[in-house]
Amino acid sequence: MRVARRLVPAGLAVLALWPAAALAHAVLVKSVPAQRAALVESPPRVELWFNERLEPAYSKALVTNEAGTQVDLRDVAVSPEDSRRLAVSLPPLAPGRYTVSFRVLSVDGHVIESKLTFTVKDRR
Amino acid sequence: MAIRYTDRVYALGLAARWLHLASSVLLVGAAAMIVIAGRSDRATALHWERRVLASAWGWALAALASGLVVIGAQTALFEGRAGAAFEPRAIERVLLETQAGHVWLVRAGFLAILAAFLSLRVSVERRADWRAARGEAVLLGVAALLPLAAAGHAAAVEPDTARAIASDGLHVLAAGIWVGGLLPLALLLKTAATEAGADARPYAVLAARRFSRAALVMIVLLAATGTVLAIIHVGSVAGLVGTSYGRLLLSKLALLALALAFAALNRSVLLGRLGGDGPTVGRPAMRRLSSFVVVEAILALAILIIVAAMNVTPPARHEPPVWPFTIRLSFAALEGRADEATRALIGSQIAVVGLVALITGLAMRAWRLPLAAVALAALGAGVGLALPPLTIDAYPTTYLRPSVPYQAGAIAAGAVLYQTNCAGCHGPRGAGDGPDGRGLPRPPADLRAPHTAQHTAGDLFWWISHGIPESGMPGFVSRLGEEQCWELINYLRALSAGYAARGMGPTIERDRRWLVAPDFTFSVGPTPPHALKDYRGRNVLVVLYALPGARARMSQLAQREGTLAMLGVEVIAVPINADPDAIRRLGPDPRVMFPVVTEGAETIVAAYRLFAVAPHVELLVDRQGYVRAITRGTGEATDIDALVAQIQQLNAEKIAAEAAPEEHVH
Repeated sequence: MRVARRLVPAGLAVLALWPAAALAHAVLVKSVPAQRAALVESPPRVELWFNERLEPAYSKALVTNEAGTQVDLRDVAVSPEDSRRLAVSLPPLAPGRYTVSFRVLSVDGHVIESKLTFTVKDRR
Repeated sequence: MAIRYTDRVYALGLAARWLHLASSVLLVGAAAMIVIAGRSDRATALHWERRVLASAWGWALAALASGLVVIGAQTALFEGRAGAAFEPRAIERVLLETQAGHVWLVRAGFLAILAAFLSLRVSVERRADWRAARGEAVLLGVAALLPLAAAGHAAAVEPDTARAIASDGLHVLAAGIWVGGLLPLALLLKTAATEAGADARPYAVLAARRFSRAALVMIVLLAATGTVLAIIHVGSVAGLVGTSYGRLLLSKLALLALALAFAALNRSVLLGRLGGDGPTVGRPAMRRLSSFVVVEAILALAILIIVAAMNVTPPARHEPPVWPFTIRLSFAALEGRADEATRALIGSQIAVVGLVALITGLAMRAWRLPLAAVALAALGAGVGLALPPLTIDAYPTTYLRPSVPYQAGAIAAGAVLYQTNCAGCHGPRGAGDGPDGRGLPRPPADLRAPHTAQHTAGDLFWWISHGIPESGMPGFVSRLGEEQCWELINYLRALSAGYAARGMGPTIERDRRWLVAPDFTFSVGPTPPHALKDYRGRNVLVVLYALPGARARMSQLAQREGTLAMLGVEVIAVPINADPDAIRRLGPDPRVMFPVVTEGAETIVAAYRLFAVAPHVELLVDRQGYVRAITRGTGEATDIDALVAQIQQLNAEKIAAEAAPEEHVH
């Protein structure tokens, strides 16, 4: 049976292209803070990593508080070292829920628009 | 989420893109066709050459004009408002500050130079001058076409950007020479078939033969580069049949098959009949070939419409596929079913024999038909025998990829959701023994069972959101959001993996990586957060400890930290009680140099406790992110050399070139 178990894939591989697990992933690969993170300390900045290189001129992110007011330091920029990373600095944030909205343009001309949230917890 | 154009703007943008692509391609083909046909001094041939050059000039202007519309539409998309398409300021910004803009400028430059060059009257009396002038037109056309590849999807492919761009460049170039050459060829054949064009007939026959040879090479090149690009941008059967991009590709291939059928007919039947004179050879064949070539060209231009649509559609790899069939094929269906495996094996071998016979039959002249018939029958029977055992039920979401990654936080959140929504029937530990499940038509599934490996995450997503009506499981789509469903699935994955991990002990098994260490983020005091993933490439010892029981072991680890670091091991200590004051509690002596998690410990413990429950647990994670050994104890100091030996074994292993664990979803 061992042999059969090895031969079956070998024989069948000739027949068809199998639905292989694709390497593709969500367009936002990672963020710090992570989506829906609950933090004790106010984060110094928000960093977003994408799976494609970004066009700096058309890649923006902003952080708003629950009231919808923009709270970031308005210095959003694509990192010069890694053009897949977008970062924006933050002042010390009061406890509460914050939304990071971003709209980025990848080098192949696709616009990606989405948002994520994180919470700064009350220390007490 | 890509911004959707409103339909009308979309249609306009698409038309402009198509016109731009078609004129760029026709331009290259027209210039190349003249070179392929060669120089002639016959009056009709010279007249044809002038007309083709004039058409190339027209295509260059059309490409420039449609290029303006394309860049306007692109500006509107980038800026996120339609009005920007008409603002010189906004367009200037796109041109100067984006890669697509740079590419556009380069191409427009070449097109303008080419248009200017074609409007000049260059003397081509001498053979060398003719070659230089026509060759230059081809080169400028190619120079204007090739950079397209650097502004398309290929430009965003990582890694191997260069390979993707090169494949894309070759692909458009080959398309240009094939598609663009068709119309000039048809014109030449048609002219030569007339009474007045008799002087150019030998020239036309020669040109048709040369073009046919060149086109064959181009089609082979198109197939090769097209395959590479399909693997890069689509990559899976689900992507091919389940996304807009994949379906566009399928319709493109269908049209291509039709165009190639015409091309094959032209080449095998009509091309041989061009010479001589008679009712079916010579001029009648020329006329027929001319009109068939036009049909081929129309089909090819229709393909370019699809190509233009593919340019503005996100590649299949980036889209969630909707699986259109109710079954899928997988070897996982054979697990534990020996008789079915034998059947699949026998069937596959019959099919292979049939395939070989078919190829032989096509290559042979004698016995072709009977052999092909037998071969097809064998192939059909083999496939019919082999495939049914491999089928597994599938759902529209089967190949959907989790939008929530396999991380401790998601697992912990999923655990809470499980207890409120699922434990009633499936039992508090997932054994399928919940009190509410007793009266159901089918007993609730044992979620710890390894057969969950046969189901994709997308299958679970379907069952959780839509339910399984015949077994009495309700759908939770109204109660749980999409994100919560994925959290639940991450929990189920960890639960099933943890059940399988019961047998994993402190000794590693060589080259056996199967237990993925869920990623987690943690902070140590006020420092910025780290993720387990950041340690990829080093071994990590995740220590779940509780004081005072584990004091001895923690002191030992602190003392031997240097040894471990030298072996490429990072220790991450996680207090089981998630004490934010954990560092102070460990005390100053011996000094702890490794991170002690002060934030995030709760979720790490919730997730990793699914793998091992003991007062003190140490999980050895290898350089690729797999848990390889689990030590369960009470926290007393043990022989550190045993750990060192395990680590040395891990370091001796070759790192396999397989997908990162988080990509590896069942």
